[in-house]
Amino acid sequence: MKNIRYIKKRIYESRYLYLLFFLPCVYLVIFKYGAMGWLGIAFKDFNARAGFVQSKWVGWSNFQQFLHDPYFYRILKNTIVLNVWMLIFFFPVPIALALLIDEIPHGRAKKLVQTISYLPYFVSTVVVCSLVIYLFAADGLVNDVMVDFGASRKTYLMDPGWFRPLYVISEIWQNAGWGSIIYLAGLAGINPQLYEAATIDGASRFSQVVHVSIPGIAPIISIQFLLTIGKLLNVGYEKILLLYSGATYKTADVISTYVYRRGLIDADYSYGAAVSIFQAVLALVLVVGANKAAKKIGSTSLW
Amino acid sequence: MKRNIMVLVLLVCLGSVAFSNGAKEERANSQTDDNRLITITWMRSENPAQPLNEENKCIEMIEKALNVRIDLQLVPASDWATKKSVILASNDMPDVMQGLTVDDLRKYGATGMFVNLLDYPDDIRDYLNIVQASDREEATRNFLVDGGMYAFQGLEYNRIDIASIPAIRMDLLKESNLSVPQSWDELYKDLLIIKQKHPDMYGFSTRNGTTYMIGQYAFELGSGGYPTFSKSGMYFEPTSKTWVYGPTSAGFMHVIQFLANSYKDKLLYPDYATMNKSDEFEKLSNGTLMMVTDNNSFVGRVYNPNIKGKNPDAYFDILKPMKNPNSTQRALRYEHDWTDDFVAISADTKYPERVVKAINWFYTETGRMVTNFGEEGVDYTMDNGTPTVNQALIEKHANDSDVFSGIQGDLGVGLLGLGLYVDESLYAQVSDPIMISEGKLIRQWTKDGLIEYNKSLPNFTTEEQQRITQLQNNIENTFMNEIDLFITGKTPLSKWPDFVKELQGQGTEELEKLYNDAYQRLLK
Amino acid sequence: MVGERRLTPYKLLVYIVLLMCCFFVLYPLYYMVIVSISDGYAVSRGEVKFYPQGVNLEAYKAVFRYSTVPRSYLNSVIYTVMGTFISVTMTSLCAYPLSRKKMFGREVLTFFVAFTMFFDAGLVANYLVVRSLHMLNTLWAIVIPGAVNVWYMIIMRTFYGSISEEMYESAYIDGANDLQVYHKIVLPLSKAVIATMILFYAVNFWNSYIPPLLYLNSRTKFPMPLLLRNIVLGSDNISFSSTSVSSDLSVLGTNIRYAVIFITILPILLIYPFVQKYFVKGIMIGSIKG
Repeated sequence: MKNIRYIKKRIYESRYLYLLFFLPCVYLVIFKYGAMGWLGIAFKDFNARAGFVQSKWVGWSNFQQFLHDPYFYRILKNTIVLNVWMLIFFFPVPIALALLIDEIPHGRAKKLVQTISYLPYFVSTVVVCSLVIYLFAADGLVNDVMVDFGASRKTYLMDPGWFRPLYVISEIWQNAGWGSIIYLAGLAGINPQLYEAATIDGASRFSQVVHVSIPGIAPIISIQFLLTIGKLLNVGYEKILLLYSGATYKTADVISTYVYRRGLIDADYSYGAAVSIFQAVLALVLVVGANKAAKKIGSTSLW
Repeated sequence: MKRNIMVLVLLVCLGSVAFSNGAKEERANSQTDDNRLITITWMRSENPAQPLNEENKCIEMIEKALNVRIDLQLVPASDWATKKSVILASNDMPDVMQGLTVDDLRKYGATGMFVNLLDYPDDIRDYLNIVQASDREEATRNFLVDGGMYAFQGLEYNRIDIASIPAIRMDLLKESNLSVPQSWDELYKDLLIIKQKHPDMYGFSTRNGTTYMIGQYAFELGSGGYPTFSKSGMYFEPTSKTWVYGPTSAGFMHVIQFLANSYKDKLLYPDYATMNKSDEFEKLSNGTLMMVTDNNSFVGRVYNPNIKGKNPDAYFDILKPMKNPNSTQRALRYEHDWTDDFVAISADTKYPERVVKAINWFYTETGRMVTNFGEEGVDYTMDNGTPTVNQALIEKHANDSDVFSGIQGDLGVGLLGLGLYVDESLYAQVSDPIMISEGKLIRQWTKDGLIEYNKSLPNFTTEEQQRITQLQNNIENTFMNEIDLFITGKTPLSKWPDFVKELQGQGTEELEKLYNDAYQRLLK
Repeated sequence: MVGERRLTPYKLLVYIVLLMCCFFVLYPLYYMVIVSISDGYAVSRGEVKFYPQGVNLEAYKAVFRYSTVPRSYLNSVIYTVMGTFISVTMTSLCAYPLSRKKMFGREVLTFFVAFTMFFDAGLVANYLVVRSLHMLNTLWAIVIPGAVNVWYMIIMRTFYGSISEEMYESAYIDGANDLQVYHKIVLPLSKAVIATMILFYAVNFWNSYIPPLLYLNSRTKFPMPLLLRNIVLGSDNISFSSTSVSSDLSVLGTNIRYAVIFITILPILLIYPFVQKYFVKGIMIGSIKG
């Protein structure tokens, strides 16, 4: 039961902070919340000429169509499983990379390695996928090398079991280097005296990494983790569209590709909006839960 | 140092504000609509093969002839679909939009977003005379939406005949003393023989996924489905004059057998499903693939020039439609005219009558010549009735990767420019002669009834369209799940009849009925 | 780097792993470079695998066929500089207050901001907002709608959160208010994170193509990505755009497409060294001592 006077006092004390926050707040209201109202077409049958207001109201029917779709569970499962794979296999890589790069003494070597690591980020997804297809083709480089080691030739690209590994590998190649930048910035902020103290205590470099570096960037890791959970229901269709085929639908077909294919037959904004809302609500629930858990274990949380 | 950076940044910001304000182009727009100068915004996509300029010869000449100034808004072709759908969905059309598809027409036509051309029948006399002639009459009726004509269609006046037909390495046939195959059985045997001689080669592949591949071969083999770029198994069967769902029809067995056998005998490239355009072209150009069934214009423009660099004796050439297991010969060519190049006028435009008249002019003889060739005497001359582009212009673009597109882009004319009634005679002057000779053959084969035009989808009502979307969604997903398993042999062909039953259980018969009912409505 | 300079087994392992990573990253890039400087025909036959053949710069020249290249480059620079400046400022203005424990309603406001990350209304909605503000076909449509990326904002807030309370205490004792604290203490201390944000936003703006595609109509205002995407993707019609016979006809060599990638990468390579020096350890030193 908070005292009104107490609240007023707190607000007064924060007045300059509110001032600073004002401009971004206006921006968010106009551009984010203002646009959000559009999602209401999920409950209508959108007609472009009639516009948002005049389109016919259909209630939950778009949602029902989506939820009762015969492939609903499969695409939901594939979306989540793919993102879990990313969480397990991709998420630690930028962190590890940052820690590794940090070991290089300052100078040209360090800059060179850093630059090399993030260059793939700028290669467009289409090219990355054609590189993957090129390398993993039945007569491609990877198969040639594996045959030299005695394995048999595989068609990686038509095998549903290989889709997720290939997806994750291409993501690591493309994004791990860029993703490590934020951790490097965090490592730069750790007080050097902590390392000095550890050295004086006789700790090995490896032990310093574990007991000084990692805790130093723990808040960033925690936040990144929570934000990644927020994206658990979202997988972009661009990369998957280029890497999948009917043979790999079993594991590769996700919500966005399914909706995309459906949109090819009849572009339906209302249906798309309903799916978006579904994904958003589920993601929100997951993040709220993860946030509570983070608070409980004393780690940095979103709110 | 930091202060200097801040000053620099602020200067750039101020500069860019000034720059953006000064750059507003307001063109004078008179208030009356008799024959005064008006400006219209015209949006179209820009193909990277033919970069356009916002001010070009064609636009100049149009302004001179009609007193209509075109403010060209170019959109990169790579993202044309995105821009188009956002513009239409937000009801924010420019005056004229070129590059709409039939689907766009059907979806947005009846909403009142586009001008109904039939409200101005006297202003579109020339256009109507062309599209209501006997050879185009059915198609034109098919594109009416609720009885209204909501766009001009990109038409062909003189187009090099092209079709999606097989082309094979003729030199490899000669090498093994094989004659040109007359039937699909013979072709298969020939491919096996070549494979024995060249074990590292494969017979064929595809470039747009499994359904594209089926579309390439099914019709010729006597069945059908997924014609050209369609993602649906429905196709028009000319023998019964009905729409049929290919995979569940009896003749499809031959198709699946052909593909499965090819995979087993290592004629079908194992990674066919994910192979893309440049991959396939690469494999054709370096001698990995023996044949291809695709747009024949690539033979003269891509495969042959590329492969000659390495192997001067190698060349591809097209095959006359071969006898299939039904003992018929047939092939499919792309639809007559273009169904993805409709030009619609916004219903909110200021001077609809002027704009309608103006676009109609594109289909008159004068308009056609200007929008395909530019200015007579300067850009081209009439040589015994054949328009001949001036040598100077050809030489100017001789080093372009695509001379044809270079010339047309310079002037702003043609299919990828402002040409609506397209005349491709220029090809005869600047292309590989093999394109012309193949074009003649295809024209002859079409006349002989060996090649059919692909048919456009009939017009559906909103309820029909919704039901079709649902059915097709389910059927195609089921199909895609299993088809590659059959082709690669993971599922034996003996299980095919069960698969057909599964597909029918998803509603293929209802789908066929919907299509045929709509088609019958059109015929009446 | 603080610590020993001796080559321990741990260090050796680290270096080996990094070397392998470098190779893993470099081979595909190397492949793209040699393709982009090779002869078009050899490339189209797939003959270029480990070294370039018929070296020439035709592919790079082909990009400049577009008469608007210099103008588009300038546009890209302007959009990037303005956009980054506005974005970094706005993001910081948003992140700092939310990092202060004393801000009343902090949790609620953070949720208010984070909530926008989940519900993305889509292209049409954003287009309508921009249109209703009469920003179409202007510079503002490029630099304002994307001003705050909430993900980056939360990262920035995390960095600000690591500034100890004692810093603030001593400032308050000296009579400073929150604005002065922000200006004189917080900003100087957050060099590393501001540098990072500048890098992230600059790269975003440099590569962004959807706002220019949707909101700009005149070719003279197009930034580079619109030209470049058209070259890389425009002839490979699969999947994305409505496939059609006319768009299917163009065939652009792989060497040109890869040349385009490198033209895009080059400016970033130039920015990064400036930003990189802020990643030196000790830049945040003093956050405890004050």
